[in-house]
Amino acid sequence: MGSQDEELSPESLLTRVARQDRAAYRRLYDLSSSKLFGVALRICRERSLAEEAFQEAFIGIWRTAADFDPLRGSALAWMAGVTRNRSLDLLRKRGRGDRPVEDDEIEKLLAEAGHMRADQADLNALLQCLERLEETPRQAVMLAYCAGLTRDELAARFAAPANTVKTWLRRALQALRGCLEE
Amino acid sequence: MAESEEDDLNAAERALGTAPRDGESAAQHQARKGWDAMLAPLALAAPPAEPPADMFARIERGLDSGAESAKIIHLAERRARRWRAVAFATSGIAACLVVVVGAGLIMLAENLRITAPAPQQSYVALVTPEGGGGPAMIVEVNTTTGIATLRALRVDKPADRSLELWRIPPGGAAQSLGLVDPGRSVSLINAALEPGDTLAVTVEPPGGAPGGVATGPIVLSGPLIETR
Repeated sequence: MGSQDEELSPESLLTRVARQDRAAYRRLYDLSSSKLFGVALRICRERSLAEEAFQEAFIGIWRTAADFDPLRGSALAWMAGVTRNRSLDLLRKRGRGDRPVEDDEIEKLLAEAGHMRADQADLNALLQCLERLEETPRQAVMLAYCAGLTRDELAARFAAPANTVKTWLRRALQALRGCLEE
Repeated sequence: MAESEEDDLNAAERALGTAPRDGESAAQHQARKGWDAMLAPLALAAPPAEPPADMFARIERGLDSGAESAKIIHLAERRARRWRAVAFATSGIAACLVVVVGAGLIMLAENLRITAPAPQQSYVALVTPEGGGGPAMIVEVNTTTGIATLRALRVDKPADRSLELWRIPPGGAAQSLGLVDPGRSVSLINAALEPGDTLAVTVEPPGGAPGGVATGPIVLSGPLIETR
């Protein structure tokens, strides 16, 4: 826990970025770009679109760094959330109906999440809470958040009415919040 | 901030992506933030991938092309944040009003004594895209001259549509302030704007909303706040 390490933590770099510090922005890029590009690529599933989404997201991080609230989570998670949202917005704007999510996607998502959990405490806590959910709502939440499936797409996948899916998702999100607040 | 369970769950679904984020109001955006933060670690659960080598250069070019507007935004944001810090510290709108009125009285008292020029006041609104992102438009109101200056920075206008600016007083109906053109700065003379008003931009048929009532979705909105 040297002061050198603290200065280079994503949290302190992001705080400096909020004060328009270009050197900190470059460092933050070096530290996070492969993780964040991975986030964009998973949502966009196509390299050129992922590049566009990542570029916009990282510019967005410069402009909205002051919105980051360290009490609500880690800097990396916040940046990943910004990148994920930007990627999903872009994907929906361009229309993505022609690239359905493969059937083995959910297993892949869960396996990837399992690999990552050790070095991300906030992800680990979230995954532990996800594990407490029943299987179908858990899969629905993962597919919606990580793969960008809509309510109708989830309904088709789980052969359930869209309203039922809506109820699953809402209950699951409430349960997750309750679990994380424990 | 009191909100119904239904509002809260709608916000949760917007964060998840199973309900649309377009057309979100400022309050709805605020309600979503906690859910965004809760789910964000899950976004991290993706295998890393290397972006192209020239990506940072591309990002910097993108930043610099918007640098001039970013500077204005930064300045206005700093001023707005200072005001908000005071507002939070004094907890609640009623307390804010006391501070404003109090400050006014002190200035008045000082003016009586030393006959300084009338205190200049200005308000600013950072009008931000629905669904998040930095300000797309800045409206500054100088109460001394009665002129509102509107700078459209990053506004996309759909083809064959007009963008219309509205003033929404607290608890009141929206009043049109005219049409907005992307990239054009406009001065509105004698615009009756008060701190606490919300400024919003909607997408309307060409030429503006028929009958003076907004028909299209809100694409930008922001509150008008006092800056000095």
